[in-house]
Amino acid sequence: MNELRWEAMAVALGSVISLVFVWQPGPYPMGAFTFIAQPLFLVAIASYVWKAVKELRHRRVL
Amino acid sequence: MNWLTLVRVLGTLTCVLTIVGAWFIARRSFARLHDRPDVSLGITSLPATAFWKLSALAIIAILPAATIAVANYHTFVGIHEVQACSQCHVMRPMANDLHDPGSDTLAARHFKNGYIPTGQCYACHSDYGFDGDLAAKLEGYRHLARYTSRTYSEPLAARTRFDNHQCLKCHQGKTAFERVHMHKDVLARLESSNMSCLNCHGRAHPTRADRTPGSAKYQALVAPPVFAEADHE
Repeated sequence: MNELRWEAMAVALGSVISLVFVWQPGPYPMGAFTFIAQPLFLVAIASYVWKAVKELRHRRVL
Repeated sequence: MNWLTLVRVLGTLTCVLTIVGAWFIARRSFARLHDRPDVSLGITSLPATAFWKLSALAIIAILPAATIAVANYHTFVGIHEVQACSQCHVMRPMANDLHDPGSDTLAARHFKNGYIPTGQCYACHSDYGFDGDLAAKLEGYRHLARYTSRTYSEPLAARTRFDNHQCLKCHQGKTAFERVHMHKDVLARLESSNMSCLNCHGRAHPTRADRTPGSAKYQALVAPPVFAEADHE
C-alpha cells in the first residue's frame, strides 16, 4: 500500500472540526462540519478504498 | 444519560482516537513495514504490515464514518430544541418573542399556556429545513450555506406557504376546534392550505417590520435569548 499521509491529515483535520461542532454546536461549527469536515472524511475514505482495492488487485486477491 | 451527553462522549471518543491514530498513520512508511518485528496485542501478535493496515482501516475509514454518523445525529436531533434554532441570530426574534409573556403572537400564546412543553420550534416547523424529509433537509443545507456565507438579507421571508397540517395535527378533532362552526365552513380550504389559520388567529411571530434591522424593536428581538430548564428536551 502506498503512504496514507494526506488521508491521515484530512481525517485529523475533519476530526478537529467535528470535535468543535460536538461541543459548540453553533451555525459556523455546523457549517464547517457540513461543508469542510464531511467532504474531507469522504474524500479520505474514497482515496483509502481506492488504494486498498488497487493493492488487492495488484496482489491478485480481487 | 441524555442524548446530548451520549453524542458528546461518543463524538469526543471517535474524534480523539482518529486524531491520535492519524498522527501515527501519517508518520508510518508502509513500504518499510516488512522489516519491522511483529506487534504484540496481548493475546496474539500480528505482523507489523497487517497491524498497520488494519489500523489504517480503522482510523481512515471506520472512525470517520462513525464521526459522520454521530455528528449528523447531533445536527438532526439538536435542531429539535429552541436553543439550536436561536443560535442563528436571524431566528432570535422568534425565540425571544416566544418567551415574551407580554406578546400576543400565536407562538407566544402556545408557549405561555404550555400547549407545547418542549421543542416548540420543531413542533410547528417539522416539515421543512433540517426537520423535514430528504428534500427538506437539502433545503436546510441551503439555509446553513446562506447563513454561514452571509448571503442573506433580513428580515427573512419564508419561501413556501405554511402547511396548515402543522396546526391541524393538534387542533383538528378537538372539542375547542369542532365547536367553532366557521372551522367546518373553511375546513377544506384549511386542509389544502389555501387559507391560512393566521387569517383569523393573528400573527405567528414578530412582524417583518419589527425584524428589519434599524427598527425600534430589532435590537431587543435579536438579543441572545435566556432559556429556562423547561425548554430543554
